[in-house]
Amino acid sequence: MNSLPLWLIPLAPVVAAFLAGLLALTRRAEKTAPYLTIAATALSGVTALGHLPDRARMADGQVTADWLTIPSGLQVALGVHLDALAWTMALVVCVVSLLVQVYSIGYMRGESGYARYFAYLGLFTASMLGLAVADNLFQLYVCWELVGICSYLLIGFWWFKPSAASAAKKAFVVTRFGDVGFLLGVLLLAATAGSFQFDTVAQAVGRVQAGALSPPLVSAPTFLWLAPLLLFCGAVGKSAQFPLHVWLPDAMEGPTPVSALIHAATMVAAGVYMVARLFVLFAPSGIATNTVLLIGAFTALLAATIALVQFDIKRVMAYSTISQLGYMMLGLGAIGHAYGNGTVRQAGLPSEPVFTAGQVAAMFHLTTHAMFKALLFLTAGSVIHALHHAEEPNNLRRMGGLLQRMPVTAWTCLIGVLALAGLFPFAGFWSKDAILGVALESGRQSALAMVALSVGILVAGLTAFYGMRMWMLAFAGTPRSEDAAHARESPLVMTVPLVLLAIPSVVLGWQLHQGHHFAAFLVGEGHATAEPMNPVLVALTTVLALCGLGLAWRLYRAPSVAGDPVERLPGYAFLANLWYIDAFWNAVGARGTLALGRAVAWFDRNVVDGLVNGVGMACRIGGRELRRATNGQAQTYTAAALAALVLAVIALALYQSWATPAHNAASPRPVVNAVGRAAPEPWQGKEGLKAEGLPAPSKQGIFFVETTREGETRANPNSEMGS
Amino acid sequence: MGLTHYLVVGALLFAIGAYGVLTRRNAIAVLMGVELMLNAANLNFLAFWRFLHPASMEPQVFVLIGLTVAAADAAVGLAVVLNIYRNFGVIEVERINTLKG
Repeated sequence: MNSLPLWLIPLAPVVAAFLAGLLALTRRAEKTAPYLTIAATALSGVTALGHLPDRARMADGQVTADWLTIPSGLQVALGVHLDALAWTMALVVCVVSLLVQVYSIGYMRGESGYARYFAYLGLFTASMLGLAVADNLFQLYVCWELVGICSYLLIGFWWFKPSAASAAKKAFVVTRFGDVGFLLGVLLLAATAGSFQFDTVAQAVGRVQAGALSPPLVSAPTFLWLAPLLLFCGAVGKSAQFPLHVWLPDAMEGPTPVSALIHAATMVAAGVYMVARLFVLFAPSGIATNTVLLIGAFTALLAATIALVQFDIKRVMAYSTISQLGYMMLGLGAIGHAYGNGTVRQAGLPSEPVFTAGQVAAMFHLTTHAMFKALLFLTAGSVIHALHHAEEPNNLRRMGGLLQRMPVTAWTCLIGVLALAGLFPFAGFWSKDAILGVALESGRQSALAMVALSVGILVAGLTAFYGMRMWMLAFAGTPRSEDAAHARESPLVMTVPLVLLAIPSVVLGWQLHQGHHFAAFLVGEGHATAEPMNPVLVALTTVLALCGLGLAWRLYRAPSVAGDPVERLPGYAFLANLWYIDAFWNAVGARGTLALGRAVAWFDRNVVDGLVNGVGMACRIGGRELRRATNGQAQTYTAAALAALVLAVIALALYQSWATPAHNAASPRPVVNAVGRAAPEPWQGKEGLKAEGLPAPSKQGIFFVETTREGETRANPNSEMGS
Repeated sequence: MGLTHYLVVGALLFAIGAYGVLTRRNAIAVLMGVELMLNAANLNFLAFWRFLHPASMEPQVFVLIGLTVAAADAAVGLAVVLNIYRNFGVIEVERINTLKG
């Protein structure tokens, strides 16, 4: 299988997306579009499988082509560098994308724009794979923006719904806030390193740290925390971290399979992946890593509390995704111990790629989360598909009792919830405890990590509660609406992907944890050390998860009469208003921008336009006045010409006398000087000439130009004028 | 009688001609002013030749060309004036203002 070239990984879906786009244009044979993109995604996956990085020899598949050469010597390459990290991400993308596309065949059947949908999905898959296998910052950034635009296109897939259109815009604009920082970070790093390649940039940061290289614009200590934080801005936007998380819940306006693929499993994890990929740049700076830690921890808590009080099945999951992404960031920021020979603080030396336990744990959680969160979203999609004639198909209050009517969906969803809750032996248990283990390890030295750890443990309980609450509301009890009573199980093309995702949601955590396969794979054989799980921590999170699950089961077992129990929580209004963060953004972000826009528009209308109109008006008035000069009288014109001539002569005379200082009287060209200065009184010039001992011209003209020639001629009798 | 005297006469002739061109209302008189200005130039030419380059022949040639041009100018000018008179019925230059912007 090694015969398949590496570049197929990102390029096959591009071609398929292009062809599917053509099909969408022709509006014929739309039914074939999914098979194209599914085949291409499968081809990418098979190619990736065939190029499993050889960890024993630290050999990665790599292919690079020059793309652009910027004249100052900056090379921009397009490449595929399939190391273990990229391979993991690429495989997650391929698997989830493949299953989501298969599922979409059923979910999107009969929708207008069927082929367009698959073209977008194909383009997204290609961009995401390009991001995963990038070997340089430039390609990373380009693909980063490409997945952003695919997200925009797919959130707004039902563009005729105003809510979808504005959600798409919101997602695009909010992530743009972070991407500005990301771009600045990329440029700062490239300007420092003189290259976009990851390894060169990492070396450059190492040299800056050692004092051997000074970055442009900023001092070396500033650079060391500024560059990673600028990159982190991009991750905050893309991975929906506080305070830019507000776009992700709204992004649920898109088709549900899109939410599963883009807004749960892959694209939103790109921020985590980017930080993990470039962690060598973060590691030298305590400011940077602690920011990642605190933002992650706070986001995990914030989103988990909001998820408690949501009544839209997809919004529960959206906040859950934000919370889990916060977990991953928490793991990255906690660092933990370093694998390999170096310590973390000396990271950046190229010969020995240094991995931290935080990176491994975050990537571990990213992988398992991609599986069980995609599963959860697809089950939600299955429910919504069954209820899609209802008024509010997403509303948990109108569900209930779906367990009997949709057994496959219900049971797979329960698996997803248990995996999310981190219950033994589901996948989430292993990866969540890996992250908390890292936080505990760092917590022995750092109070911040200890705070993050306690937040993480608390969030584990909250997660179990809201996950189970959602499941109970949707599937348990009796139907609370006519549509829910008549819901039917989704077709096989949708349930088979659910089952296929449920399997890794159960076993993947154990598989990867067992024998530390995952750590060994990422870090390289021989470097990984066994990490026993902390039994106290495991017990604590398991008890909390069980408490959360049990509480939710007990509260939602019977149909509640007095409204939802969470409504009686103290601070319910605060949570239901999303901590007033959306309101804050509306007030400051949106209104502030509007006010600024109005001010600029005023300036434009009154000052800039005033200038432009003023120029025009000046020309018009000037023209009107000047027109009076052209009175048709030839004599007036002649007089003007004569006056101009006289003025020119006067100006010339003045210029000559000014350009001839008095002390130059004795210079080698005395005639000019003498006459030029004494034009009104020619005879003085003659006296001056006599004083120089030159033969006096018999007659001095009043035209000094003539006189000049005259003088030269006299001084040089053999000139042509004299002959 | 030096160069200056000739030049002064030339300048006076030129000034008188220019005055005539600018102030006369009759187109014929304007043409006469133009002739005076041309002849002032010719006079300057000859004066310079005589006092500064007596050995050179070119100034005389120039003056001859100038005279020829003046004659042609007078002929064309009079023809123009004649046609103006035929078309407008006047030869007062200030009444011929169709070029007005």
